[in-house]
Amino acid sequence: MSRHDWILLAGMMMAAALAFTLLHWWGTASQTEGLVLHVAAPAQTAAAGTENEVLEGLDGIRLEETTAAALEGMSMTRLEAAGEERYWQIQGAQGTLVLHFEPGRGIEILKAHCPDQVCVRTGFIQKAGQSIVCVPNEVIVSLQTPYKNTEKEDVDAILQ
Amino acid sequence: MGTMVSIEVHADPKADKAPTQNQLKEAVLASFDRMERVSAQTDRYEASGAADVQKVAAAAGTGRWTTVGDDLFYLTDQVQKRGNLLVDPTLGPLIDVWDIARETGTLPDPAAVAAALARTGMDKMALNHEVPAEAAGGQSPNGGGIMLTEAGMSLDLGAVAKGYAVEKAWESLQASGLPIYGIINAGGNIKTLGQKPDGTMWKIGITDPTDKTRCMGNLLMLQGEAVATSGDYQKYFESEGIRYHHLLEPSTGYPGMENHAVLVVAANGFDTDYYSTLLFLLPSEEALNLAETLPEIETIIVSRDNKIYVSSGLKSRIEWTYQGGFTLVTP
Repeated sequence: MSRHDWILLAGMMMAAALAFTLLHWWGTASQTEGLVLHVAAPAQTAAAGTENEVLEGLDGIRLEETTAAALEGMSMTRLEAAGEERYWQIQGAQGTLVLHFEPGRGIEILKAHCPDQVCVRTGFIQKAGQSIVCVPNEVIVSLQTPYKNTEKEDVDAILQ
Repeated sequence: MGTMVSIEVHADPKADKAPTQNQLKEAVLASFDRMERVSAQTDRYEASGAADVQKVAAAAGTGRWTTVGDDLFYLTDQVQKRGNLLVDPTLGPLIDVWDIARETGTLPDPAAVAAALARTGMDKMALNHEVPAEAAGGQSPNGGGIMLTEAGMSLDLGAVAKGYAVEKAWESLQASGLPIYGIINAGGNIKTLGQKPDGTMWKIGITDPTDKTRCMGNLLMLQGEAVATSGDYQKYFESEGIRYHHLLEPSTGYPGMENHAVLVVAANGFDTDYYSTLLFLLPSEEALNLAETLPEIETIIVSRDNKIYVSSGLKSRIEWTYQGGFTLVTP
């Protein structure tokens, strides 16, 4: 691992720690019918949009300054998964990754373009506070609070 | 694709032979791979610099043809054939200027915009189905040659690539032959696959362009239908209270200021993406009138002066839940 990788890993750990702290603020949470996950991935410079959009993905959560620095150059996206099996494709530093949500089992990285496949071998995570990290791709998937039904719940998708 | 893509598929409960979970997984992975192929040809932000569009840009002004893959060739060919100058695949230099503006939050120097604008224009893009022999090293059966005639030019397929990629992902799922239904969602581009078991139409939430966290209403969609939105809220920065977004007017080099958002429904994902960009850049009423003459599309237009225009074929297919400060215009 190069020095850069270590810095990155440290940043990821800090982000995971912060996510864990936030969970404590909200009280402990276990898996119910669905999950909210935060995905941090390398911001693709211009293509990923502005810093506003990056922080907006956190859905009202304010990043501590230190964590924001550790996450510099990364974008955060909030995903909700409930009831339905679902797949997402996200862009990592070395290629794309496929996330897979399966009701009752949780979330896994099903496929990734990385040499060691540590993230894929991690398998499913399902409890709030757990995360999957793919260092080569600079991606962190961390589970947050259980999904709560909102008024958006009765639509099949949101057109952004 | 510079965006997160979600695919949701389910086995049709009414099917005689239900697909296994592994079959579903394989079908979804194949579909993602198909989108990745589009991305590998059209993504000008690709870190390795190996995307076909980047090779075309590198050869701009040298007089050499660049052999490109079938997806990039199809997209440039289609856009050029349709010929409307509002959708221009050669805006690369201009988009670079506005990308920097968005990153720094400052308006670009007008001279920089003018200089970039001079290096755009579909008339300076040549396409050749018969790839010249000396350039035909790459394996690309339905590809072709592209040449940009001036140095510093570059392609940007942002106006059409995502809708096309969603279409190809959908075709890939269809080609699996499995009895499935589901939805492909690439943010501003969506396509439905098959019918829900309860027989109801697909229900898509329409984002309020003035408040991204809210939905204005639901759009009811048929099976195999696509929808795309071009909006001034998707990628932007603000300067002195004015929102400068990513949808550039090719003749001025500045963001189009007629509308907040334009949604287009069509059978084909390419059409939804192409027309949502085109209509966005037209004055609202002109955009609506044009849409009414095109049988293949339906539209919802949210103008800058907060009016909502809906094309005739879509009126009965929207459930409004909240209209904010907008006025629904019924011609």
